[in-house]
Amino acid sequence: MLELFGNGDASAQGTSESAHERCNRRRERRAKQREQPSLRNDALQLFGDGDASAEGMSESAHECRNHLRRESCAKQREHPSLCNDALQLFGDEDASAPGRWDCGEMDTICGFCNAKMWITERLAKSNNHPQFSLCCENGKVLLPNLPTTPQKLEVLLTSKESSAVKFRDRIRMYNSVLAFTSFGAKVDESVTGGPGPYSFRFQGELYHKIGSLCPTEGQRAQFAQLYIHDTKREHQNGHDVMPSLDPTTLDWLLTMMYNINPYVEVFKMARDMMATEGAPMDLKLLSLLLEQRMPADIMCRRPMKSLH
Amino acid sequence: MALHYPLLFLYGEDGWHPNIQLNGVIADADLDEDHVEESELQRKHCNVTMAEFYSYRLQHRDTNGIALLRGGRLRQQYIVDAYVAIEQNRLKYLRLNKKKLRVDIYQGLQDAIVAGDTNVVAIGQRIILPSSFIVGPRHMVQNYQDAMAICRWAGCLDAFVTFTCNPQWLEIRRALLLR
Repeated sequence: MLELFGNGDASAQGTSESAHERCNRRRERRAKQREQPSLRNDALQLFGDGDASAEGMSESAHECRNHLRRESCAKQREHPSLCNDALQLFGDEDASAPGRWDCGEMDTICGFCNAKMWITERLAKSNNHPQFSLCCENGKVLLPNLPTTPQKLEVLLTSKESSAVKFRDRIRMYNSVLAFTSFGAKVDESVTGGPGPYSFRFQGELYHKIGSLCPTEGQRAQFAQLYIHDTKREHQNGHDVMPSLDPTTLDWLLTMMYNINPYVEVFKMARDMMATEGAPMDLKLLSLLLEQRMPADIMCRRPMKSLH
Repeated sequence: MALHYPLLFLYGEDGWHPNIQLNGVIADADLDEDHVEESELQRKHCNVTMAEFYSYRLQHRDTNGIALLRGGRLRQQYIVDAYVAIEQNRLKYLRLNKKKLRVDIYQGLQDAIVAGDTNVVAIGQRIILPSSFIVGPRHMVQNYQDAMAICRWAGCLDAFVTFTCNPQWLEIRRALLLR
């Protein structure tokens, strides 16, 4: 904030000074600015070298910044091709702008949670052993890893093939066909689709609704009903809900869901029971309390199911 | 969350729930009964909050599956959904803990900052968002007053700079290329 005013002297500890002194200083400063118009320009180049010369910065901040700059220069020497590639790819003039400050690569690994961070994101007092509060609150939060994504889904998410690109373009539609719950909120349509960044506004609360387990008569099965309704017709149902989706991809995704998603199994079991007993029943989805689990296998266990 | 985003959480991974313990914090159950009172005092923050949970989840880790990271638009939807959940949770806390937050002492303040409060008039009971609720009227008023205090001390503004993260920054684009 102080640098913003482009005055080294503004940072002199002056809270207890009298108003008179402050006034004088302000006058001096204005005079200085008239003499040295470049000072003002320095202030505008907040992230260029200009601010580094501001007198107000403490010694340690100087050191730290210089150290970082040296580091990033060294990195550029090590991987010149990498930087050049990036430049060529985007034809970026911005990168070569004089005085542009570079915060380096996202290559620091958080010692606690393995998250990839930029070195400049570290906590202020952790110069030798960078610590981060953004990812895991300095090791206080520790959650199980997400399991590896199946090979074929990984291809769909990363490849440049046209089918994969189409899939990514409509990933939200694919997801809503496969989802068990629907989205409930009073959405304000007046701001969607307007100029500027995408916005989404709603009133009240947002819900994930899990509807009745059987479709009402005359209606198509959707969401969780897809998994409970009728095995033979599931795939057809999926296509009916969103006709614009690619049937092969959707078929494959449904098969994958059947093979690995634990909730599908629960719903299938409920359906089988309904078919054999023919009576209405309640289905409760419960999750084991954390205390009852071993820390390492939180994700591995299936949710507990109970049928009444 | 896993029920709503089956493509991001194929294996039905757990979402947030109130009983995830912070790493290195002793559970209440492990303490003797004599220490229960002591632990009451320390209990302020021993479970993972919703915000902590989601900020942990959204980081890039090489050891994790890539579905959540590469979800594209679905990931963006997930982020919005998560933030809404966080904010709803905070608002719910304010609504249910009026006594603890001593809402009645706000009464005098109310007259001073009438302008900020006009939107909060609800049918039934009035709920006042404290200044710790980000983007609430009280928070905004405090920010404004802080800014004015700086002006008073340092003089008129030369430049007013707002700072927003730009996805076109070279550092960000380089990180995306490397993936």
